[in-house]
Amino acid sequence: MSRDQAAAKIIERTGGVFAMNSMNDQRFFDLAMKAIAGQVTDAERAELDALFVRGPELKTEFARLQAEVRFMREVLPLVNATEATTGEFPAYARERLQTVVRQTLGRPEKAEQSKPLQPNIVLVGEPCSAMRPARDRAKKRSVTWSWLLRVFRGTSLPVIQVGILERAGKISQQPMSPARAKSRREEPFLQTSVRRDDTDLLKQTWQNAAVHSFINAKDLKDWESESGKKATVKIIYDQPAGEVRVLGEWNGKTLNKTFPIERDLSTTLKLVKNYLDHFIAA
Amino acid sequence: MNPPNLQALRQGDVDAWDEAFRWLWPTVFAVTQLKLSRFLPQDVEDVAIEALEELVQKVYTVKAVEEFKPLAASIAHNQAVSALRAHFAAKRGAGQTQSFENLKGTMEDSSEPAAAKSPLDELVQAELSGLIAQLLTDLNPEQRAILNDFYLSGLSYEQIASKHGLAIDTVGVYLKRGREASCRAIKRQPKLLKELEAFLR
Repeated sequence: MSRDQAAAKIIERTGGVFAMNSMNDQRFFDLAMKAIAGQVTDAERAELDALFVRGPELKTEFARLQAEVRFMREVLPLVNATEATTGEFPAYARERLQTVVRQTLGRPEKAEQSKPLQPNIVLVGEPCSAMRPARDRAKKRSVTWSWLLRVFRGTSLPVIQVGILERAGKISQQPMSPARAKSRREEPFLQTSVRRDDTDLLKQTWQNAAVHSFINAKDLKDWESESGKKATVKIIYDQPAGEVRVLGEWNGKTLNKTFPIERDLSTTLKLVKNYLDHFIAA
Repeated sequence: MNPPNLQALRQGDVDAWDEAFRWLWPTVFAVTQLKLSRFLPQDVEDVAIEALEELVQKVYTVKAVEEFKPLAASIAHNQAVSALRAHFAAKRGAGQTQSFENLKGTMEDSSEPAAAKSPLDELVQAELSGLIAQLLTDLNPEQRAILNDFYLSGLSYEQIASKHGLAIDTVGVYLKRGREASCRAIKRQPKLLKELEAFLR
């Protein structure tokens, strides 16, 4: 029997036959815990040392207890935190979080809820889309069929244009706590241009799209607000703001959605593409 | 405060989410404060908000609203650990993240990452959430109070016995049962078991 197995055996003995051993186990446990916590008296330390001499495998068990004490000191505060009741939710965070709710769960703005033409879009590729009810998945399949039919029948598609802001103009900031805002002001702002990889990624995602690069936010804003053909969709990669915006018009419906870049650009572009494909197909 | 309605949350109901944010805030704030107050006190509140943002995206992964708090605690913990790692990496000037184990002994002030390291750091969010939920189920409030007194407040057997009106021997029995409960929870998390075994080597 290995030393680990022997030590584990001590812990597992609980039956009447091992009553004496169980008592010894409890005594060893108490002495070990007191020693680990620095609460052991000289007499108890001597008793513990004697136990180590009689059963060297107990040293392994002692080390295991030390690791478990450390684990308990880490995990108990987390367990306690689930029952914490103090602390007031900061009001400035509400809008930021409700925006995440809207973007994640596809909830329309309250003011827009009564609009009859508001499309009910399933965001394929959302983190939790696999958990959506079966009827939503069925809807997704029907949207795919509708899309295939449209392509098969040769229905026209919107013109897609991509805009990239290469240098920071106006920095869009999320509301943050006064403490962090103060610390951020003390840090130098490092500005980076759009990486070539990012531009390639955009070109790969929309291969036939015209790509426009902008060096300042105002030019981009002007381009965004230009009213061109009705069936035009503009995809804007705003690196300083950390987001991808989709604007345009298709089949009498208006597109205006912002995707924050949370993980990386590639993941966000997949979300944008899925969203766009379903919007066009719907 | 009552837990919000899960169905309403899944529908993106504004009021339900307002209620959820108020209900979950003490949990996420307590966790981020615990992990960050020493090294990144200015980020405590923001990391707690970021944890709530991530939680919104997990609304379809929970089966009951009661699962939200362990989930919130685990997300807040992991977000705080990421913030600490980024902080220490930036402090080293490399701009790259690495494990605390690698950092240990290499920094001028090696006590910082060593103090921040925890066997829980390598657990993914779902594992940690499961562990917290399991301990919440397995430890009754009386047991938990005694474990808190010993492990967190550093009270002696005698002090705990006096505080709770117990015999000194009974304190040891409570602690041992708490240990058995934690062992059961650990056994369900192979990665954690591996982490703890690493401490023994």
